[in-house]
Amino acid sequence: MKKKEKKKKKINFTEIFEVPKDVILGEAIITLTGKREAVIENYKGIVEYTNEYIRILTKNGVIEFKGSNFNITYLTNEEMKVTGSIIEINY
Amino acid sequence: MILSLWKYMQGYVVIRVRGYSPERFINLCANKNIYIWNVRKIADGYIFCISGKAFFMLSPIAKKTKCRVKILKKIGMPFKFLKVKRRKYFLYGLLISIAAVIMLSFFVWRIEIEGNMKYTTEEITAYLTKENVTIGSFKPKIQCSKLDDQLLSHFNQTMWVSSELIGTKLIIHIREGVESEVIIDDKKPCDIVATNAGTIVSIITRKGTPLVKQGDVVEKDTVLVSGTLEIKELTQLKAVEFTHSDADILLKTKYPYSDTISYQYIERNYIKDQQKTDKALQFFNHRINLLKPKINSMNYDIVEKQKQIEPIKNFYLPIYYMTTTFMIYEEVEKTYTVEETEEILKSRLNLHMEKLEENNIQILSNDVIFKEDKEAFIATGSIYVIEKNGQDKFFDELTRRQGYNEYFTEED
Repeated sequence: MKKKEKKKKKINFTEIFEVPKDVILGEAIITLTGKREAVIENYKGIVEYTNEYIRILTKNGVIEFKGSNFNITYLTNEEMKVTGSIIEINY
Repeated sequence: MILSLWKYMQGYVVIRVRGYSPERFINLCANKNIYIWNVRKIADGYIFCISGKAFFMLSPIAKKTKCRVKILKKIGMPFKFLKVKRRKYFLYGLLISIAAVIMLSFFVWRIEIEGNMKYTTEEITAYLTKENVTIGSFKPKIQCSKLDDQLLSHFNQTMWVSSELIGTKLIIHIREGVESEVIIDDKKPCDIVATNAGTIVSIITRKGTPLVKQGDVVEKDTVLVSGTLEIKELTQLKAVEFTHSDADILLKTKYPYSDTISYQYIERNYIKDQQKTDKALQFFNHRINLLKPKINSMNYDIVEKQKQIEPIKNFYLPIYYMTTTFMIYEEVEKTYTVEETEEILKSRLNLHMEKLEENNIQILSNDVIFKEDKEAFIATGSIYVIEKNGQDKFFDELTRRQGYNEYFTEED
């Protein structure tokens, strides 16, 4: 219960002071370029990766990309870039 | 583009990771700030690229995740260098050849002499050799301005000399002038003597006592104009003076001329088909023949062409490329006809007379007779000419004055 309250407080705080949410809440930012490219920031790690789908772990859960011909173009501590044809994004 | 070039310069490896959970391996890499790219999935693992330096940081991760790492490909400049490193002697050879080129550029490998007409190139090079300027001498030791002065003073017919060093070539520019005239001391007393026998055509005396007159027949070495001036009062000798004689004397004289040609002569018939060439390389004085043609005939003329190797303009090396041509000939005995010989002799005579006329000698006539002989055709006779004659002959004033002493003693 305490955790949930804390989180709510944080959300309120960010909304009042208009602070970027990714810094305070550690939310992932996904930038899509059409359906070919996706840049994911603030991720924690890769859970699974095949040619058809990628599951990426973030602070608030797993994001799943579905499509075909996936390829991770680069991968650093903060961000990663995925190319391929994306069909679905699931949370 | 720039990024990929940077990656190439730094060098990277393509590796394959297999194991229980290769995803964890990638996550750990990302956590440790190891940059990886082009991650592709294969059946039981991943293939990705990683920089060469980062590759050495992978072993603890591989141990942790129990994955196996294998290098599939090495791409980039550092790996190319490694290959060269293995070829040590190739590298040494490269260094030695560069050093050799630098060393060779410190010496003179070619001497060119330009503008010499009277002095032969051999003459000048012989003098340069005496002055220690030869092919192969050390360049910084040659002082061009000093060399100019030396050449100018040694060869007195040169007007100016300028030498320069370009690359490994020493060029000497020479401009020749008229020979500085021999200054005759016109105060020293002298006689004028005939150099040829003949008849005096005219004599104009400016200084001295003329001893001959027009129409006189003189022998060789006859005194034509005496430098002794006898000062007389009536017939009495009063005093004696000595002067430098000066006169224009035209002498009619003859030059003997004879010429023969034998009817039989040997002509060389060059056979083009049997002509053979030999090519050779020459380093300093060592010669390496490349082709060694077999020459059957004993009769041949050798024509040799030498070309110095010049890899860069004006950078000559002491390597020569020689082409030798052996021109094989047959000796054919031939005979002239009488008419041919006469014609040849006549043309030779004309040539001779032209040469005489070039020397300011006026030709009057010739009585050259052409005669047929058994084996040869003979031309004999003499050429009659009018030439300027007379040569200064200096004498000692004191001894000549002694000769006159008796006149004066008598008088006293």
